[in-house]
Amino acid sequence: MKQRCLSEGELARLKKTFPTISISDSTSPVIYASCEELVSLTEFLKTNADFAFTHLSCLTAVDLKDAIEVVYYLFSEPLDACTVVKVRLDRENPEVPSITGVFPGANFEEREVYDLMGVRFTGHPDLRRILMPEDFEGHPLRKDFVYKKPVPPQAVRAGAPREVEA
Amino acid sequence: MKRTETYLLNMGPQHPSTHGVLQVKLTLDGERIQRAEPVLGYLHRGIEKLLESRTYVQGLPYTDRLDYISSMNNNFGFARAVEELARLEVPRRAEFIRVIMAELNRINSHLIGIGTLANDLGASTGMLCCFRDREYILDIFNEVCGARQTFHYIRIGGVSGEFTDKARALTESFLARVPRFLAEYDKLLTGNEIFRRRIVGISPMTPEEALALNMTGPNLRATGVARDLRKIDAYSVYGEFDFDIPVGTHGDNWDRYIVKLREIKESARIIRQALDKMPEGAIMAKVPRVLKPPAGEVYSRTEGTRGELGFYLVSDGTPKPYRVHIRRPSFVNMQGLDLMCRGMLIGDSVSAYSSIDPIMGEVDC
Repeated sequence: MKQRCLSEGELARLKKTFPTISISDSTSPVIYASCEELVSLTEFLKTNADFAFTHLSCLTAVDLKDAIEVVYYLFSEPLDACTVVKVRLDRENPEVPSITGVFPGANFEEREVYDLMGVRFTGHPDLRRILMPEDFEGHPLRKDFVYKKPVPPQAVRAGAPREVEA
Repeated sequence: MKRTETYLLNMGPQHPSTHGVLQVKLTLDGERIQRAEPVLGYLHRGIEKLLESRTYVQGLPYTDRLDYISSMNNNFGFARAVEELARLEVPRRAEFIRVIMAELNRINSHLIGIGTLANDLGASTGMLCCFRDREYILDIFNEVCGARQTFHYIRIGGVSGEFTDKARALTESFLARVPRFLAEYDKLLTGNEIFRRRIVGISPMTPEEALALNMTGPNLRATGVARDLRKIDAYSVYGEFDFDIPVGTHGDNWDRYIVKLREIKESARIIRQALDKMPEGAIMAKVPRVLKPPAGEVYSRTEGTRGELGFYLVSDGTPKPYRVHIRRPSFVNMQGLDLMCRGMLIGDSVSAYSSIDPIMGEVDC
């Protein structure tokens, strides 16, 4: 049994409280929020008794080549519903407020998105790389990431560069 | 003049009790832990990126290597996500075989969890007993797919091989063993005063703390929250079985141990019912040779052995996924480690690592 999506009435109510959000009209609606509203929107969804989306199941990002989308999947047990919140970001300078204040459990996942996709979460308590080494350059999950092959140490000692394009 | 200061102790990544390559930086005040910071990434292989350059079918074996202890559950999760994306119907018999395999793998994984907890606390016999009993499960897996690890048995659209009569006989004899070995663990570990003193009341966690950190699986249920996706979502054929969700009360290491032990019993109940109800029929759906799911996205979650295992797939209509994200329960649960270790002794941090039961292949992905 798949959870239901938010009904039209519930979405209309949400739209009334947050006028600037846009809702895609497919069978499974997606709420597109702006950076400024993201934190207050997620806080509303979590704390409002009629919604009670208390479980942040998945936080990730997708590189759409012309933009980066940060995706939040929220689940509500009382409503038995699932909702998707997305934020579209400028690919050159992706910056989004951190929701760790609302969902403390988003900490590691935001660090992961920062590490692999290069999205900066403002207000995150400890924004560092989590999977890649600290001195790693680039963000591997971006579509234009070029993999560089490490050069064996003997060749580096003989004067070769440390990495070459594979 | 007397002066005290905190100091930093590195546990791992080569420490035998850190379960693979987990490194934890402990900030210590004397023997008491002030802060525990997990350092991840030693086993990062970039599976999410690798999956983008492979077709859905080619991507399935990579999920075996996520949480290599419970490969069946990972196969199950990924296959379900792709089936939802491509709108494939799975034959009923295949669903029953999948449930049996997932539950056998859950028992397998919990046995290793309990065994390594016992081993880390110095009870090597407990570990050997658990590994002895796990061997019978591996025999069943060996019979159905020919592998003892990284099975690649649950495929997109069904399962790869028939659940033979021999496999059924092996499963029946394993089920007969379950109450016997559980009674043995009760004598050896549960009632053992030395073992109890090391875990009762150590690293407690309240339900509010666990929920705030998005923890799932046995780690959450040990705090008393009865959340299990097999009940909530009742995906696959789980809705047809009668089973309970074991919960703890204090969320300490003891509860995490007891919840795992009781989940073994519940999994055995599910397998018993699935064996009795299993229908005849096909084990594989008609899957197109080149699988091209329609453009769109899907987030499908199942109850893995360590909690909520979610696959987020984005398709652009080509045979390869545009983006794959894996919501790994161990990774999210690792956030609880700091809280669990605070105020505890260095020796107790070892039992905290074991009872949180992370698999680094899954944490680092």
